[in-house]
Amino acid sequence: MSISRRGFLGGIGASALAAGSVEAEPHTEHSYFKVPDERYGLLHDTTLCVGCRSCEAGCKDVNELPGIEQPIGDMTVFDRERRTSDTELTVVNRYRVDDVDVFRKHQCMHCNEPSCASVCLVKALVKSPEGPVLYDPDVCVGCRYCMMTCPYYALAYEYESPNPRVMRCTMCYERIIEGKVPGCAEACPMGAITFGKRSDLLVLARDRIAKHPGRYVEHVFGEYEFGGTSWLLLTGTPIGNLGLGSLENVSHTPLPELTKSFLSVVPLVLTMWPGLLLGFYAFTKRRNEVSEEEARARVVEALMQADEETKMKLASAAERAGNDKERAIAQAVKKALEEQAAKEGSDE
Amino acid sequence: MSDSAVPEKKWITPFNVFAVVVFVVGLPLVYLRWFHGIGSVTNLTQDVPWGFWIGFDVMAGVALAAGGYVMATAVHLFGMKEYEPVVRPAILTGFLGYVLVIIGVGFDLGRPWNAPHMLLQPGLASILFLVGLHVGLYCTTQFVEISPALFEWLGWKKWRKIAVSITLGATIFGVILSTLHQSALGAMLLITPTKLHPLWYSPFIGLFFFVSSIAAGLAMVTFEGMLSHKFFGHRVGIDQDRLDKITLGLGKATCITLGVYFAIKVLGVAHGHTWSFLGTPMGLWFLVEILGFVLFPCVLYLVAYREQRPKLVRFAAFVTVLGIILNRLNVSVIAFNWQLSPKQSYFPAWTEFWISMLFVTAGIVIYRWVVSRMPILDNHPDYSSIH
Amino acid sequence: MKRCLVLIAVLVSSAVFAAEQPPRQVAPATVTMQFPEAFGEMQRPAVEFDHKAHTEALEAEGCEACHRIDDKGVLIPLLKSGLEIDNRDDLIDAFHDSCMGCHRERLEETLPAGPMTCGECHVRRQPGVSVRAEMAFDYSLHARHAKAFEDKCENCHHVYDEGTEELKYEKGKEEGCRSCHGAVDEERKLSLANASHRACISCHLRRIRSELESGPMLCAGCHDLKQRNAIERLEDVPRLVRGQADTIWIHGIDAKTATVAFNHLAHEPVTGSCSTCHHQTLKPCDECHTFAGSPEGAGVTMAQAYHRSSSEHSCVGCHAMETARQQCAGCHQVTSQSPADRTCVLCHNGPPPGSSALETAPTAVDPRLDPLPIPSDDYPETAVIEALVDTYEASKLPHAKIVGKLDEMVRESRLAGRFHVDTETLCRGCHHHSPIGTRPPPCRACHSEEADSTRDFPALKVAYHRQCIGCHIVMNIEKQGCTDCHAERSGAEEVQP
Repeated sequence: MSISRRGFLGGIGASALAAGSVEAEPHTEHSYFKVPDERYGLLHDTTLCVGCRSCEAGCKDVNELPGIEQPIGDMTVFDRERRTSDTELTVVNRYRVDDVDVFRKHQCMHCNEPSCASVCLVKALVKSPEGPVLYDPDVCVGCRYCMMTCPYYALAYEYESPNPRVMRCTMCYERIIEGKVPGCAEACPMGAITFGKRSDLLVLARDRIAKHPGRYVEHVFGEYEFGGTSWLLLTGTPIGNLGLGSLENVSHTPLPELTKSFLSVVPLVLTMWPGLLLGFYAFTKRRNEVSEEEARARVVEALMQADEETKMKLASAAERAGNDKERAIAQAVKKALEEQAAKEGSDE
Repeated sequence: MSDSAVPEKKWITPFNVFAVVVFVVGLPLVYLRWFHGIGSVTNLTQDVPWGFWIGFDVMAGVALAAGGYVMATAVHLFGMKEYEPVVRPAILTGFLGYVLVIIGVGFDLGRPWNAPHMLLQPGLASILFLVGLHVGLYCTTQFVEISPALFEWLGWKKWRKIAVSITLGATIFGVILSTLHQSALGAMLLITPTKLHPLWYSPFIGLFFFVSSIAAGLAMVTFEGMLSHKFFGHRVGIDQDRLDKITLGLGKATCITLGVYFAIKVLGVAHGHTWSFLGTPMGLWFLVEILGFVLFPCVLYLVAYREQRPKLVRFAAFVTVLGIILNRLNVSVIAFNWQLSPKQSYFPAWTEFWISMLFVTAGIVIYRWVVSRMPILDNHPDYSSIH
Repeated sequence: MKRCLVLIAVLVSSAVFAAEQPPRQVAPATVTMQFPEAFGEMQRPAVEFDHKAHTEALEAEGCEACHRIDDKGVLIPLLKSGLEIDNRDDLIDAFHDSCMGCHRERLEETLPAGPMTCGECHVRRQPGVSVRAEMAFDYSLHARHAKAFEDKCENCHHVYDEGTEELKYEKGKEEGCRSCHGAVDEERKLSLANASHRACISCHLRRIRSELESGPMLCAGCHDLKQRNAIERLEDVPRLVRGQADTIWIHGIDAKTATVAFNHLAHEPVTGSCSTCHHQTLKPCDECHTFAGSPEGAGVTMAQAYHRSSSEHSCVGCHAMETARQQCAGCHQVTSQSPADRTCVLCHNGPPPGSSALETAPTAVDPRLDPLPIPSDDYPETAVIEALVDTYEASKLPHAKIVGKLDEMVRESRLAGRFHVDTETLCRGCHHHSPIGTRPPPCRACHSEEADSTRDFPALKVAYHRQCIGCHIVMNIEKQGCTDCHAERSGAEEVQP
């Protein structure tokens, strides 16, 4: 095809523009490691939880959600493992460990480096400096990528609504910035949920472990897992027994780090590919040109050769023609002479 | 099936009847989805937020629409002029494919009207942002690449000239975008190490998706080349022999691509030290995918090329297409959330299948309309020297 | 194409077999023939010898088919050909000759026989988990044996005389087998397994052949958990007498603190066997657990031996374990974890070391508990908790009833009575971390209604609930729901349907 120089440059310009605009290397977009640890958190001591579900009631109260379906005190609710839903931002589940019932409250863990916030393409989920991960339904497109990535299965969606939102624990953000305590922590009669500064809670958790040897597993879950979470757990049994089996012994690397290797490839492709592909095109074009030239040269040569042969043929034909003509003349002369002789002979 | 009395245009064909049924049942479903929420037409749950629509319409759809950039690269950048007859159909399929992907995504999104926020306040760390942006840009690029055919049909010579002049730039741009978003679709799973089965989860998943997209594109071009010839034979500008030659060439390329893809998948298992998973049920399923739908068609292609059998190439292409769909469904739905209990696991509702079918049927109908009118499968008389 | 299909079929079928299986259990009667470590690494996996299958197959031939009975009538529990071979290759040959030789003979007589090829005995398997239960003698079993032997201890008990290098009986020096016989054979001193098998099974075999009542002869009889638990137990177990005193003073050599009066007679019925406390030997504790610790006592000092709360052999440890019972757990598990400092004198109330009073054995004393006070303002019948009334009405705590129940349970247990001499101890379960006196401070005196976020200290609501519900849970008391303790207030904000 023939392209004008203008068109070519236009095409390249467009790709360069795209390269510049989609320079998507995120420089620690959501890394808050440098922020002083003034963030809030919550400590959940599962050895104190008795499964009364006052936290669920408190949460529904504060968030003005429809009331709990199964009343507190009805233990049949624990017969199946529940997860959070669009009307239940937190649930308590019962686990049978060594013939003893252990309860654990589950909700959004408000990770330090949340994968949900990292994957949100419209920044509907952001990690606030106060600690909670906040959600803005007004910009959310409802792609549910956040739900895909949450390793705690903490997010839920309003599938039945034509204008659906992602529903999750908000750590009662409006309350905590007023100096109040999240609804669940306030409701819990056993003090299984403690609200405070995350750094303080870590100290408190370690203290409790030291004060009650044998009562706890010597590990504060959420301190480092996938970069750490704002909800910390103290348990008397490994968390694999409490429904968090897939989170046992996970890496301390925050999940968003796992995408950085790919995202760093993006600018590389954007800068290398144009040159590479143009190179292919140029080589191809050059190769085509070269082969065309060779073809032309062969044609010329062939023509020239044909030319020579023709000349020779003409020459020999001419010669033959010339010879023929001489013979014809000689014959005609001979004939004429014979006729003449014959005529003279008959006269005598 | 009764034939209509009109000899030229038969309205009552098996496909038309099928399409009508699909639309008639599908439109109420569309209403349900928009006015009664996604839950009314899908089996998606809180544990399984992405289902058949993402797995098939988006992931498989984008992979199978890759024929556009693959053929454009082959013809315009590598100068393989013998494949020129299939470039336009490939790009048209690509363009329509991406349009359908965008519509499909629109159906799956909870609040698609908020999509402009993607440009107003983008989450730059999100690979989905990359996918979304690129799909949009690439769709536009494919439109630019197919626009010469449109302008030929409309007779707008000046517009056509402009469009053709930026084809090279558009092709290069398209390849860049495709490299990124094809691999990005796979890389979206990088952030879910606890949820995707270890045999499929790999730091190389982006590469797997990219290489398999090349195979997918080639296979789709082969496959639809056969279909076009069968159903739009009156419009196809090349004879069966030429098509067969193209088919064999495509088969060779697909063979190599599948071979490479198989090798890097095995490398992925070795890198992740996940050999021990091969003995589990999911491991068997993984083997079915890579042996039955990657290695097997690769071998078929090899045999077909050596014995010069275009029909076998087409069959292998069919198997490859199935394999790509299987791989995308595995990564997004089947091997994803594999640890959920049977009670929590997901199977698509018939309405999900139907709406996807609606999109595909609409795509075929539009393809048919375009191909019957515009110089896609053949040349425009004014521009026969180009094709 | 066909080759591909075959390959796929092979891969699929092999994968199916390699699929994850549940952990393999090794039956009690299966002996894993592990060679001594000194013999180095073996080429083939250890043989798992199914003793049960062999005893069943060779029932007619009896034990002598493989074992030998020596001149003293003792069944030697080793292959008759394999004894005392210290050479690896010879031992291998010995086993192969015995096993395969026997199998070959039987095959020649067209009888069912075991394998003859290497791989059928040396089977490569996943490591298995043994379900062999350990055998142990308790008072009941010992009493039954004593009766059978008409209290002639020399039938089982012996000591080793270093001088004559012989086993002999010494009255008053009877010990449990474990005091000498360890886990492995040590030259002539057999391992516990070998020694007990020789002693027990030989005797049982003799009695069975004489058609007398006998203990088990087959592996499962002792080592299968169900069968072991089904062994008959005596209702009234007579006291195992070995010359022990009823009461003694515990005064360890070099010990500095006041001595402890120990009621040995009272402790005997609450242990399963002597080895609950005398875990290694019947000698007094301080012979091995010296003041500063010794190699015989594995470095455990005297103080640790008596006081380590994590060990079931120590006094404090065993007492601590008792407090985990349902009747005790409410106070002991929920509120306090370790004994209060003031309990030392409850035990260490004997004469000082070196005193002449130590020559007389202490007098056994039954615990004498004061009666509970009469309900009054200071000791209310019912305590009405009005603080924090909001969603629920005030809680009416049946104060006297609770304390009365605790008192009743203490009086039922000799151990509890010994430590709960003072009725104040009953108050301390709930009224913790404060002096009791005539009227202990109420909860709200320390636990404010507002939470104190500067320390790990529960607010009043949490304090009430943690105390009450925590106790009810460990004591399996049914009242654990909200309305069990306080009625719902009508007209209160509807929180639950």
